[in-house]
Amino acid sequence: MSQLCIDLPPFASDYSGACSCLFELNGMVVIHDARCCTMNYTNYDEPRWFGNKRPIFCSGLRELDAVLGRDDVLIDKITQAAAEITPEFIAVLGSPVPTIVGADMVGIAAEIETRTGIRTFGFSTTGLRYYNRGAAEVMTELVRSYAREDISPVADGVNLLGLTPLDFSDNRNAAGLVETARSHNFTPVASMMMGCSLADIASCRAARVNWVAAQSGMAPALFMERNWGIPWVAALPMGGSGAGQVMEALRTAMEHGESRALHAAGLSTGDVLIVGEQVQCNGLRNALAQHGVTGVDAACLFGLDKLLALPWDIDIHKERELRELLKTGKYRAVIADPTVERLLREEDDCAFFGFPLVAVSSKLFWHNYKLFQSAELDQMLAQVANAVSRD
Amino acid sequence: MGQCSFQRSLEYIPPPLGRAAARKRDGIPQTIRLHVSPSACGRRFTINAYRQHTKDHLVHLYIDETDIVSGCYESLIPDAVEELLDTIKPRPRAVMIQVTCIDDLLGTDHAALRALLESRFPETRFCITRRNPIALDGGLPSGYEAMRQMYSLLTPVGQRQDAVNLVCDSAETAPESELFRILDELGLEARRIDTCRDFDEFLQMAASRLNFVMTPIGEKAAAMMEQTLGIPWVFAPQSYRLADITQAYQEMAATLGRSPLDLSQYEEAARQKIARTRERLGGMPIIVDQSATMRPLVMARALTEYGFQVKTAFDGVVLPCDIPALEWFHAEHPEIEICDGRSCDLLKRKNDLGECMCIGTSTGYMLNAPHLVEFPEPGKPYGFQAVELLMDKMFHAADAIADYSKLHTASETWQPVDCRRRGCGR
Repeated sequence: MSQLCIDLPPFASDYSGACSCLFELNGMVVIHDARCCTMNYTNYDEPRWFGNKRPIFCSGLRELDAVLGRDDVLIDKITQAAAEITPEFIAVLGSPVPTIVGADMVGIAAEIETRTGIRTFGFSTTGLRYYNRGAAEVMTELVRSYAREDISPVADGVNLLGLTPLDFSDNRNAAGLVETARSHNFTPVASMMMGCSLADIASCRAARVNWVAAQSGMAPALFMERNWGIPWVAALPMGGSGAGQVMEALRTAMEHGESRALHAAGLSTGDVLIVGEQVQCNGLRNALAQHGVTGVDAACLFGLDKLLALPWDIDIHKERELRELLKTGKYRAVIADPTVERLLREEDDCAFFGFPLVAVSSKLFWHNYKLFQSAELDQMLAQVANAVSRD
Repeated sequence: MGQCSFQRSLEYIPPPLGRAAARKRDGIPQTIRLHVSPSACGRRFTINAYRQHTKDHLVHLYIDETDIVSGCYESLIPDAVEELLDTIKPRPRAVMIQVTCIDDLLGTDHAALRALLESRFPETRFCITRRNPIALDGGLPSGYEAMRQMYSLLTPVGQRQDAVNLVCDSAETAPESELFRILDELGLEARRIDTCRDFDEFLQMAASRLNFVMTPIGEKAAAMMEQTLGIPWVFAPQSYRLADITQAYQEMAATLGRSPLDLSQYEEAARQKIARTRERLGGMPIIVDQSATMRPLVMARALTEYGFQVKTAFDGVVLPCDIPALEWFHAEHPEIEICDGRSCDLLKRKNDLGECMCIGTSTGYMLNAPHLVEFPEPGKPYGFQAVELLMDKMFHAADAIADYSKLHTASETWQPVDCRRRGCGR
């Protein structure tokens, strides 16, 4: 979002999305910043940080280094650390200051790779974009770099794309999707990027369909579609009974090669608003349809992907836009991160249902994250249906 | 051989395991902090503000690539100030604009910006502070200037009053500290920014007789107030050396023109606790780190002088007032390791001390130290009371085995976040 923001917290940045994707892999990650950006990621955007001592570091950037273009200081530090840690790969990420001074993260990575002999990635994260962009960039690059050509397709192989704790937290949400796929006779190949190794990514071309579980998964999905003809379905089962439709859509895509975002039948604009990440918004909307609520708008906080959107969905750029949208009086129920409720006024006749998102509210609610495929979520959706059906 | 070689390296950030108490406010009353930065830069401040129930006093102005590259970054600020002054009710008396590392590179003329804001909004006061760790190698940590800026809002007022300003950071000083009894005995009111009920009460701090500087980062602020307001000051950041604490209080009395204080009861109580704790710990190795105190070298020196077996002290940025402690270690105890607590080397460091005690959660967690002193409390101890509290905690920690998972759970437990509806015009 741009400009003045009075109530909502700043959202997770692209470097957090990138680090979140790289977390479980056997690599060394360096955010090129003075300390605050790295601290944002480690202490506020990574629920797995405690108990997992991963080699994710801050470069300790200083003013003179930035102004004089002393990339050699960074390269020396990384080279020295890599000699002791011996990671499988190295990733160097940008932040606002390197962006402003025009630091070439790809060039820096190339120099490090030459010196160390270790595969090194440079990601041009800026700290000025949202987490989904960083996650998308990393997943796409990992697929491009590691996917093997000489691999046979797996009959019911499916990749899951877009899994990070920034969308799913570190409860059972991500693992639940993998289990759902298995229980419907699919074979998960790579669940990117939770419960996934570089070996899994190397096999991703064996999948016959890509299951896009978050907006960040669209970029690697489109890459694989363009280059290898693997179709995708963007969908997220919500509640206790949403899985069947998603699995059916995956099966259809696999058989007919047609990619799509899954939308329930009979949807229209209406008096329910869901605010948040686009694939989650669609999933909740589809689940509400099963409760008889089909008039639902989605307001997307991290950019609106037209491939995932319905015509009346809203692209939110500023807090003020969201505040004005809520003031219209159109909505009788709102589903959003709990911090969004601050934008409502006392007098607004609108029921609010908190649906935390780590990328918005960080650790404030990450221990109370909703389980997406649960009866508890069904109960919440039933309450939403009640709220809009009353006279 | 011990050494102090903070060679520049990659930095590792251990998870925060300290508990934060809710605060009624963060900073000066009736003041809004306007954080101007790329959006994510303010993320941790905002999340902390939610946790501590101070979110109502923090607002963000996000700048994006276009704003930075086009140079219209500075012109965004006055319009944003106008919007927030119109929106937030009641209207704030002052706005603290907080900029980040980006601003260092853009060369904003802060004096000119402040003058522009004061002329456009004459009923509101402004100050501009920096959060720019990027400038750490060039001078003092940004906290020094931030505190100076806060106190720059004070202007001379009337007659001197029988009060002492406690220049400290925003965590509440523990009411058990003998400091308050001493001030009471001297007939002096203790004034702190975060206990002022409103902005006018804050402005009365300009009439106090003395600035008692309880944090290193208050030094510049106190020097400025001496020049602009004529308030003398005593530099008294928390030390764990009894002689330093005594000297600070005696200097306060002398500066105020009072007789030397009788502090013997406090000194004796602290000595007894030190002796008891030293006997209990025996030769247990001790490690001190910067998550326990802003002055880990000073704490480590005090413990060494008391006869505890300090093996290692971790520090991040060595403050100017702590350089004598550093030099003391070099000269007197070169066998004690002084390490960079930020270094990536922390990740591969193993606990080769075995049954040791860490004072500070960061190193305790990284080394999986069996005994841990979680220090300080959410309320900040001060003076002899701080020494006694430290000794009590060390004494009890010697009998307890640290449970880092439990600590982590406690650190992520807080009062329910306030997401009540506010809407526009709250």
